[in-house]
Amino acid sequence: MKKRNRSLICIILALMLVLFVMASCKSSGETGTTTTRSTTATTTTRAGTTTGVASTTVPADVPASKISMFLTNGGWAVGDVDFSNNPWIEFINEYANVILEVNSPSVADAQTVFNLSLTSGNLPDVFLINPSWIRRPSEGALLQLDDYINNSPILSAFHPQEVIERSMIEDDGHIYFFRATALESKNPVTWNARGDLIDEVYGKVPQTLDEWVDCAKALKQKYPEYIPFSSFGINYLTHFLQSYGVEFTWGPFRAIDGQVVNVWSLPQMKEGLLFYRYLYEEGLLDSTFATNKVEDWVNIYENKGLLVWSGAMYASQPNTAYYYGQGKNMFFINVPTAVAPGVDPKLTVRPVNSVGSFAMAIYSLTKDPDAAARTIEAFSSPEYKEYITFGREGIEYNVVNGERQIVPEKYNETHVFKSLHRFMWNYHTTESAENTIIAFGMGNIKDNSDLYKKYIDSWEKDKVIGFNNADLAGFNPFEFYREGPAAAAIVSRASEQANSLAIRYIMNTISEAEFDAEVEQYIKDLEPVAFERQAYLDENK
Amino acid sequence: MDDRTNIKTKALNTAYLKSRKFKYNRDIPLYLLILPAFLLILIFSYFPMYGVIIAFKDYSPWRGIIGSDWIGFEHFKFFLNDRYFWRVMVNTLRINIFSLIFGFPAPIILALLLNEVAMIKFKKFIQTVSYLPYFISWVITAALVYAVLDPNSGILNVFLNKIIGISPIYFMAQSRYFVAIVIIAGIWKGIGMGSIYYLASLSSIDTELYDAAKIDGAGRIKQTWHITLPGLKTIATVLLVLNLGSMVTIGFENIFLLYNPLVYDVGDVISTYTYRLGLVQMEYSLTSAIGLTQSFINFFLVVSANYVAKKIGGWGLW
Repeated sequence: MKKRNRSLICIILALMLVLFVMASCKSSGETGTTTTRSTTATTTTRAGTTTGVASTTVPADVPASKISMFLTNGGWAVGDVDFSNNPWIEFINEYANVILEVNSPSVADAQTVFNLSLTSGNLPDVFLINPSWIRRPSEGALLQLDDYINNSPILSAFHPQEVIERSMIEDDGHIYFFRATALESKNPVTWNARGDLIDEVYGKVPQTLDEWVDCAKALKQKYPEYIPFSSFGINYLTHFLQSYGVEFTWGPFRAIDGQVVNVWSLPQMKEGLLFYRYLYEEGLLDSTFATNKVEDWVNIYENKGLLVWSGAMYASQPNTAYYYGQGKNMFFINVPTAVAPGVDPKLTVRPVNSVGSFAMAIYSLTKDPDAAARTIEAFSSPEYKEYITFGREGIEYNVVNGERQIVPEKYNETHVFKSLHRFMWNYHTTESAENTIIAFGMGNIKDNSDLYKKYIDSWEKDKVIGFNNADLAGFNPFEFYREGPAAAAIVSRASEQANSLAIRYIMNTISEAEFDAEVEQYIKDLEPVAFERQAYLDENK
Repeated sequence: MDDRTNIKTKALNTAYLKSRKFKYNRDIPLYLLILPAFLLILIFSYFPMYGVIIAFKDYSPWRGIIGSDWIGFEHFKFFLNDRYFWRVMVNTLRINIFSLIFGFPAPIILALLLNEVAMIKFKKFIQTVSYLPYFISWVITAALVYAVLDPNSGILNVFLNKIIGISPIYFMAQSRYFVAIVIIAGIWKGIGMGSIYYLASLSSIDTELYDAAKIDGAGRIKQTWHITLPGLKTIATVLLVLNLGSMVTIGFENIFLLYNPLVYDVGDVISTYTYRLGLVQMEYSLTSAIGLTQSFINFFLVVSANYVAKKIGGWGLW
């Protein structure tokens, strides 16, 4: 090959490489992951009445603004989310004159995905996150919401002023996060259980820990391959620690008689772990619980007779209807927490967060802050509440003799429990959850009237258990407490240590002396955090 | 042209041919070819080095590098006094040292064994089978490891229980097995690809040396010791120096996918520690400080290893 040709080839190759590198470095300027979907391809204009904030009033016929949104699926969605042709999003689009583009990673990945967006300076316009994910909002990541809230009848009415003052004002006196759950919406945590299996092998709902053991043994005797209790790591394992008043997965601190107590310092912690050890050694607790992935737990839950676990009050009946629709005769119920002897029942139920752990915020560099504020307003509006509770008149419900009557088939299309049509899970109301349960039952169990009656009767009992739990525990005194960065780092690391310690003790791979030494060290590590919390508790009595 | 002019011309030509200008002009196309790679390293490896300054700052993404407060060595003090940091450092060193002891010779041994195989088809089959795991992601590999070691249905426990009569062992839940599991999985995954370097070196050894050795009465072992291993010395030194240079660094994927709360005491390493601090808790400054410290230690180790290699073996990376 001639020298000149060789040179030419080298030059061409070099240019091609430079072009490839430049092309791969191009910024897309868009948010999104594989789960992002555009809702509509056309712009919509909003005519007619304006609502909400004076500063965000939209003149008629103004083109809709594109607004990107981030939220986790909260564990309510199974698999990837499809936001196309979604009436909920269309409602928001119409109300706020926006075009929402939603990104909703699974709850396991959400914080990491969000952190990466934050670091790259590529945040979406609006996001629904746990406020602890942005520790110093006053530094400039978020827009101040004070004026929007003060000027919006909708936003100011969504939360009482007292709640706004307690839960939303940051150290600099401004509001950056708008809590996403209204005060009247409660979703207590209860024990969910397989009612059909309990009926079959035991005949009654166990009330004490001994009865749960007997029930589990009866289940194993009849179905040796079944696994009555399981988890993935420490997740979904801790309901029996609730029985001893020492559940720690949502934090090791309790307020007992005005004092901050680390539950690891209580003797009941060892008792609770020893109870789990007994279950493990008897073969009643899954032998691989420590290394299970969530899919393994779901498999046991669906196919291997998982007996009881801690879950949401609203979760039981829809699961019954859902699995009935899948051809599986599984009946889910809520059951009262079994209280260990000598334990204050109040400590055995998880306190309720009054306005939820998640809040909406607006990116400070959003191109259209007014449109972003209108989006939050839309989610907080009475119309949206009406929509998620009942749906659309003439579609999801009809008015008969002045009362709304749900049309189950249509309601279930848009309010199905495990779908993402109702994707803004934090905005659900108690009534919307009840409507979903009833409609879902009607839609899925319509061919079995006996089962449907049992379903509704069970739901009535479940409500009693759930709201009793909520009343017993009261509100979480640390709901609005925000850990400082140093404390958050200590707590995060310590929680891993606690999980590891609990599992090793249950599996008896650690001696008593080692356990006691590690517990002592763990409590010592958390002392600075305990002091901070005590100061907060004293200040907010 | 007369002889003097010819000589002068020739001398000038020779000087020119040896000159830098000529070499530069001759190599311009090659420089152009290497330019994109050079720019890539400059932009993505050298320019970002400026960002290491956040290790000395209380970095906030919103205030930027310049706008963040200077705090000096506070982060360094924090993690050097943090007992968790020392635990993960010890775990990292432990896994790396054992990987070096067992994982470094493994591809060499495989290469030596393959070199002795006479049947070409069988040799190629073994090479292919040993290379394939390299292309399997760690996600799949970890799932395979869990499946094989499952206490209920894993093939190893079935073998131990049914054939040998030992009750099932929950390998993944016990700290004492974790390091071995990580190393064995790493060897299984990397031995084929690692052996490629050595096989290439072996193929460059003059076969006449072996013939001469045979004539002199050397058996297989002596041939390996006196011819083959010295032939691998260069590449082995390079790879050893590079391995030593990353003694306080460790892969993230394999550990993250294989570990669980029960084995944190031996399995939590520097990469998983910085992942939690950096990505989950957004402690970018702190993890930059840790990364900077790692780099200094690795640099020191590389330089030392290279020096020792040159002293002992007469050959080093530079």
